[in-house]
Amino acid sequence: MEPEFGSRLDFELEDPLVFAPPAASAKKSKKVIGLDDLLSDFYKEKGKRVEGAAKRKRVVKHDSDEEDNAREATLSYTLDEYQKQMKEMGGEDEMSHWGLRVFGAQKSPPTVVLPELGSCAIFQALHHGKLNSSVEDGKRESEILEGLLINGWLSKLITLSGHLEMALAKWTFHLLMFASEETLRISACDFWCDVLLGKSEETSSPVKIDWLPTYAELKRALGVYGFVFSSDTGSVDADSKHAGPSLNIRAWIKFVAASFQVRSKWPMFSTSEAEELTEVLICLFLDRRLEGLSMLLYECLLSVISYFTHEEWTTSCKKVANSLASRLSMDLNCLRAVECISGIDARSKCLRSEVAYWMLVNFLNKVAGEEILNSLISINVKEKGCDLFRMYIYLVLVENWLLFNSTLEDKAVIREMWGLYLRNCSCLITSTDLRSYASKVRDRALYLLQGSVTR
Amino acid sequence: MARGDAAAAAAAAADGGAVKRGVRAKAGVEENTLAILDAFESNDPRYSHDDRIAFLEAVRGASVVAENGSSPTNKMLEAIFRILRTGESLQSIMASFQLLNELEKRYPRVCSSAGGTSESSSAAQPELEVLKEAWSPLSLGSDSATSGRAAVNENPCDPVDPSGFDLLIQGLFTLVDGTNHQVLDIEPLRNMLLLQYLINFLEGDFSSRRNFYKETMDWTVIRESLLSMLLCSRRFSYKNLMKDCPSVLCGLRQLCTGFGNDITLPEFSEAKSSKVCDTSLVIASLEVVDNTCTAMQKLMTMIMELDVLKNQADKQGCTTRADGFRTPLLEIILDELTYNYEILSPYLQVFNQPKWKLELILQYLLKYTAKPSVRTRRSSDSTDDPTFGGVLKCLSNGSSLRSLMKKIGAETVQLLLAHAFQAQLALSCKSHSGEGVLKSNGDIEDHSLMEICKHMVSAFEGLKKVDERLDILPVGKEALFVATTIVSIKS
Repeated sequence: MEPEFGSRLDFELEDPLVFAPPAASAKKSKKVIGLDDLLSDFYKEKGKRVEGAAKRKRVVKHDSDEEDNAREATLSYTLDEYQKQMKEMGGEDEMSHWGLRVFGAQKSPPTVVLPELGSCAIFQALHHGKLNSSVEDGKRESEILEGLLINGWLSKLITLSGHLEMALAKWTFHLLMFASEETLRISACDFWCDVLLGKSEETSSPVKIDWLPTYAELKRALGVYGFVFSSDTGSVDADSKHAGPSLNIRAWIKFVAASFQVRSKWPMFSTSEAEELTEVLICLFLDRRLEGLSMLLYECLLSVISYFTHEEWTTSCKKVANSLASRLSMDLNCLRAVECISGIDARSKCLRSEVAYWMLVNFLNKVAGEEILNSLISINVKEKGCDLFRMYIYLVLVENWLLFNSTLEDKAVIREMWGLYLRNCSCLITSTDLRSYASKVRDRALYLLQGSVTR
Repeated sequence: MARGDAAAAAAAAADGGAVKRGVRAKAGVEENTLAILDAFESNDPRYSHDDRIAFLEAVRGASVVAENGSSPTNKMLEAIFRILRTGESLQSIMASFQLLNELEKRYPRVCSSAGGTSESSSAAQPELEVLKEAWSPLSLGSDSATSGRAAVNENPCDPVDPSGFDLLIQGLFTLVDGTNHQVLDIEPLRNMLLLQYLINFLEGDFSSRRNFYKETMDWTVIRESLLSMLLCSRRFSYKNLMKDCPSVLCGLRQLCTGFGNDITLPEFSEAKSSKVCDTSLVIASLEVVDNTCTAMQKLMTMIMELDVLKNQADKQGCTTRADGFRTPLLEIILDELTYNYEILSPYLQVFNQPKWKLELILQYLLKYTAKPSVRTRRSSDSTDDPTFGGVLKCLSNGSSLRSLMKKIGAETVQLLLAHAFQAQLALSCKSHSGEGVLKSNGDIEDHSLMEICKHMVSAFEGLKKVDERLDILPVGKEALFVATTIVSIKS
């Protein structure tokens, strides 16, 4: 039964006549009937027939239950199979979804020899002074400190004393990155955010911090969570038992957001490190497992790109965009990468436009703006073999490249070509075109065109 | 129209907004907007996930990203709101939540204009601009409207009414009350995001009104605030709801630590796709629950601030019978904590608004200390408010400490003192430079911080004196440790 089905379908796909719109189910709107609608209708019909047959049989042969059951089992099995098939086929036509596994297997956290906590000034002071026996009663320093950290005392103590010693800094940072207890990691994260961001800027001299994490430390932590830095994302080992990311990723993102806001006091990162981190953050957006953190990532990305000085930004923006573009392949992920850049301020607008531009450069092997548009215009969308999925990606990329870049606005040539390109996509694809993505390309182009006319 | 319409139409709107510098023809905006909506609504029963996302992205482009963008129309806002309330995927609820918040920030419903600018220099009365016609996620209309709690969820696109708001918080209560602390499903996440958004919205309205009130002392501005109207609604029991708030806070925090510790991320085996979903839900739950906890605290803080303003207005005779009577939130919480002793400690741990935490503890202590010294002295208004220093001074008297311990128990005394001390430190951290506090002696307040530390140490010594076998609680030890350290670093 199954192969017969399949071959019939293929045949139908070829034949446009089969696709006469069913008048009964016509919607109010002039809705184009999608391939998947037809499929589902078809399968529904088929399903009904099968079910009907089963019922009839049941009525007739009431005595042989077992046989019936067996038949039902096979029937339901075949139905399931059809359903699966339907889903698969539907999936092909519908959007394939974005999503990359940027995290592979988690590694075990590094064992770090932390400096002796007992040497901290806060303990020293106690030992010298009137030590209250009821306070310590034989507890280890780290236990005492954990209590102080979790209940929020430590940040106050440090802020008031104005000095964060190396031992404490390393210890709390290690907890932030690798603690497996939620309370500890969040407390450590709050601690660092308090110390870094805590005070009103104008009156205070910043806390003296003896040790600050470097970029290498952040990077190592991310590596431990399973992040794959190489651009080859195919190598991610998804089947591993300890697949990342670790739950510490939340604290990691918060820490990064805070540490990039305080360049004037503690410049922790070099320009190239900040560039790399920008790219890493955009990659984090691509992992569906971090979807719930999108707000956090948004803010973090904004704070990282605000780290650059004005001069740095002009070159860094291009570098980031270029390197990101070479990392991503041509699928919906590259659209997601563009759209996750907020565009709320001048810098993120610039980045968004640049990323889209460099992706086009990469995919089309052209550099000049006119060339890019030229080669897009020369694509014949009417041709059967034209890959409309690609076309859709190009269209969205060009849209982002042009609309988020205010300097291109004045270039009449570019604008002319953009208009031509849009007209190509909208007029040459008919509304009855049944190729996948045809309607998406057409509609998007059509309305972009309208938008550019109204202005 | 075809399926991708929402996307395309919206993209057009984005285009118009982002590129265009000059004034855009109003008609054009309207046309594009309607195009989005038509497409959006005609697909109603099954408009696809993609279209929703594209719609959100486009509205964002036109209204948030565009330098001179325009506020989305009410219909568009409704549509976004509906996505938040009905979205089935993490992506769509997160995106709509974010967009609504961004829009709220960019186009506040209430803003105070600085009055006449230059021409009418002296008569520059600041004015409060309230966009009455603007869409609001809360409907606080007449109480007489068809009541009934079941009606709340009937239409997910409609604004939430007071009883709906009540239900949201009660939902949290049952959620944290449940014994199975498993990973949250999409629905509770959605409700928590909705609650967060509503609280943000209330805050936006309230804070701009409060600023305006400070300039003009016009009580009606506050009376008409959404928060005040919400609380005055007779469609839910304000008192019952607020009574639950402390437990909700504690429960949320517990939920958070619960997920984070027990659940190691799901292992990847056969059913990969569903596991991915689980992982993302765990991570999202942590984030959303944590933020909800913060939002609830924000709500409570706002209500307490409203109470203070109302009290002021009462004294000045600005309130009328129309304002109604409402028990101040602080009192409700105080009663709840007194009555429900188990949550005292976790509540003090979770609630981290130092100003109000301190206030709460002082009120608690004042209830039981016989005659607070500050009250008997009727020298001036400024000493009217109790201070932590004052309370500590009062407790340095052995007999009043003893009677307090008898009334509320030594453990409670420790808890209260330790947390009050912590709140006091937090306030000092905020208002001082790091070095100043411990190194310069001149400042009076620095001085008083030192005093407080010393008094803390002696208060705990006093506790020991009263009961020699007394166990000092961990949090008491920590407080003592910190106090001693500050004193010894200083000296």
